[in-house]
Amino acid sequence: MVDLSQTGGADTISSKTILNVRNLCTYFYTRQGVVKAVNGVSFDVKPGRTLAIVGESGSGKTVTALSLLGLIDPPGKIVSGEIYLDGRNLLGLSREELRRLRGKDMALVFQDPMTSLNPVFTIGTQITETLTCHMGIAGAEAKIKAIEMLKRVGLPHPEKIIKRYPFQLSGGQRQRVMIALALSMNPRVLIADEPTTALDVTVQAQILYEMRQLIKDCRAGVILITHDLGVVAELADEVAVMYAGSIVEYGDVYEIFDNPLHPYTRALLKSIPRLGTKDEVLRPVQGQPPSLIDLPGRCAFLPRCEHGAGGCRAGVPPLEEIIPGHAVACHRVIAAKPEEVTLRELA
Amino acid sequence: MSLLEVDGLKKYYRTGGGLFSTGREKVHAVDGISFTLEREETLGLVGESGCGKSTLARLVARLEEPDGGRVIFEGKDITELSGKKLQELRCEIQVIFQDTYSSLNPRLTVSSIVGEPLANFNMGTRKEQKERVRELLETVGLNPEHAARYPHEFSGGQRQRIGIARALALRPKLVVCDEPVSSLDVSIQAQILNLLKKLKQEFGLSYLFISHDLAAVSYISDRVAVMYLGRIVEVLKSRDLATEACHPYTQALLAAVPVSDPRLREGKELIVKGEPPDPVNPPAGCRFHPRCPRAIEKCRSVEPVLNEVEEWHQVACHLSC
Ligand SMILES: Nc1ncnc2c1ncn2[C@@H]1O[C@H](COP(=O)(O)OP(=O)(O)OP(=O)(O)O)[C@@H](O)[C@H]1O
Ligand code: SF4
Ligand SMILES: [Mg+2]
Repeated sequence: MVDLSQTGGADTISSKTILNVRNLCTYFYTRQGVVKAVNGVSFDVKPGRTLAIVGESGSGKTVTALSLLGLIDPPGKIVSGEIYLDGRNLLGLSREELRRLRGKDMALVFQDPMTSLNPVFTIGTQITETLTCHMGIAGAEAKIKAIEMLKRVGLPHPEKIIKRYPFQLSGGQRQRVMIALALSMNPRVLIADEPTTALDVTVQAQILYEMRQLIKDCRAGVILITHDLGVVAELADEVAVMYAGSIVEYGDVYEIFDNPLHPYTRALLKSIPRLGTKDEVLRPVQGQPPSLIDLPGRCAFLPRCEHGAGGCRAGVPPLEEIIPGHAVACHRVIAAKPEEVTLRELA
Repeated sequence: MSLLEVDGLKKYYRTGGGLFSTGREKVHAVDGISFTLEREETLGLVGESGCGKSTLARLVARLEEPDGGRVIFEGKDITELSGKKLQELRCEIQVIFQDTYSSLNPRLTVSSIVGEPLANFNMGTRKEQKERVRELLETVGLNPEHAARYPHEFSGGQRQRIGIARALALRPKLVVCDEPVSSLDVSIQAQILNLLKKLKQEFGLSYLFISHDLAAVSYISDRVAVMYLGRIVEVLKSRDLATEACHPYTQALLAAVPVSDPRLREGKELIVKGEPPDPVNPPAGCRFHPRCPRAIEKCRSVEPVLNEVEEWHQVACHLSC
């Protein structure tokens, strides 16, 4: 759980976490105005555990991931915040130091592996090169290791796969190769941005199944970015729900599903059709997310919120721990504590 | 009489001579499909990428010519229609597409896009057409004041509403929906699904609703047809899907849907491994047999036919349910 009072300094950070992000703000200075894509985001990542960042399109998930990796280019800029990897503030590092970190300590898996694999080299060449570059393993040894890694991510006939080019593989096979590549470095943190979104459900199910095993084995801290609450339910240990550039609810996955408190989280859960529930009616949140330019100085969810009231205009609600291990950014939920809060009582 | 009857429909595409292709290979996109769609019914069509769903949609809407089989609409064979007759059919069968970027002309205002079918068919005076466009926009939950705007000024969900308004303009009987919510956010998906449900009741529509999302399909449909490699493997009532589905592929699809609650993930097992084979050379026998956990000897050589196991429930599998 994020201790939100904690603002930094390596010594104040719990030894149980690998990555700590505090008040991260990443803005894009566009001609239309300042896009506040990530607006004061804080979270912790623990070894062998998966933090899911879930939210709808444009909520700032990918920009958060790119910020962690130092991949924000102009007109974008990390305007404030702290990112600690094993207690070291990454925002103080040079571009070169960050580049070395990427791929070694922090690995990234994208939705579309085609863009991250080099089309003119075989899979085998790409893996052995990475191994040589980051781990100093070369030649026959690297080849054996490459085959072993592909086997680990559930690819049949890895000795054939290493001879192929990316375009000769299916989407699911390519994504497995990317996961193998990312994990081959024994990274401290693995960031997976919509890793299964482009895949068919039966392929997604297999990859989620394998990822669950691999994460357990490799002890990396995982940040799983997704818009799909089903994927969250399959894989996450902790959940951060993002809306309009901010985390609006944060907590243990069981707590979030059993006892969602933020009106947006509740609305999201009521928006997904479920199998086997007969004659159920979906109650989606109405309207659309706000523009990230000129975010108002109040709760950004207010125009769409079922529970909105006058008090919701009193500034942007802070992310506050309501129940131990469960934080919510909603004026009404915060005002209702310390009684056992459920929004049913608020309504 | 069913509203729509599809009988042994086939469509093959020649592949474009890739690195390893001989240039003479055929993709069996739709390979002998039969089903019926009743009046005011929603039939969901679900399957993974490349199984032929969208091809089937285009064949039914007569946007493409089949290589075999027939499409019968209100008792009339529409497979061979052309010219004026085909134009008239367009009043009865309309399509909603996934990609509103390419399906809505960016240079036209919303008013012209929605009104275009009315103008093409000379439905009423200019003034009446304008009035009808306003009414249609309201029906799909858009502000009629925005009729003079262009598609890019709208969000994805709103653009899908524009597509729906246009599809409804000619008061069709059948609307073919090809992945209408797949590129939308979950909350917007639910808005559109609810809108489609409401419109169906209001106007007595029938839908052929195509999607790869089993949960969305079962939410909106009365019956679900499951496709695999150009074939239908099972058709059953949506309400029975979770409990009565008996084709091993349907069961695998159901098991692959992510859980809705983290407590359900413990001990979850994988039913199928691997990926669908290339539709250029579909496997002999039952097309699913290489991935099927329950395949028997017969499945390798004999292709099962779609059999009725009870009323409104058909299965193409050699095993009994
Ligand atoms: N290079 C850029 N220039 C300007 N704005 C940008 C840029 N990159 C991202 N943004 C804006 O930042 C906001 C957050 O985008 P981001 O890609 O992080 O969303 P996301 O949550 O990953 O969405 P999705 O689910 O669609 O991937 C969006 O409003 C987006 O338009
Ligand atoms: S602060 Fe008010 S508007 Fe915002 S989520 Fe809470 S109840 Fe809704
Ligand atoms: Mg993204």
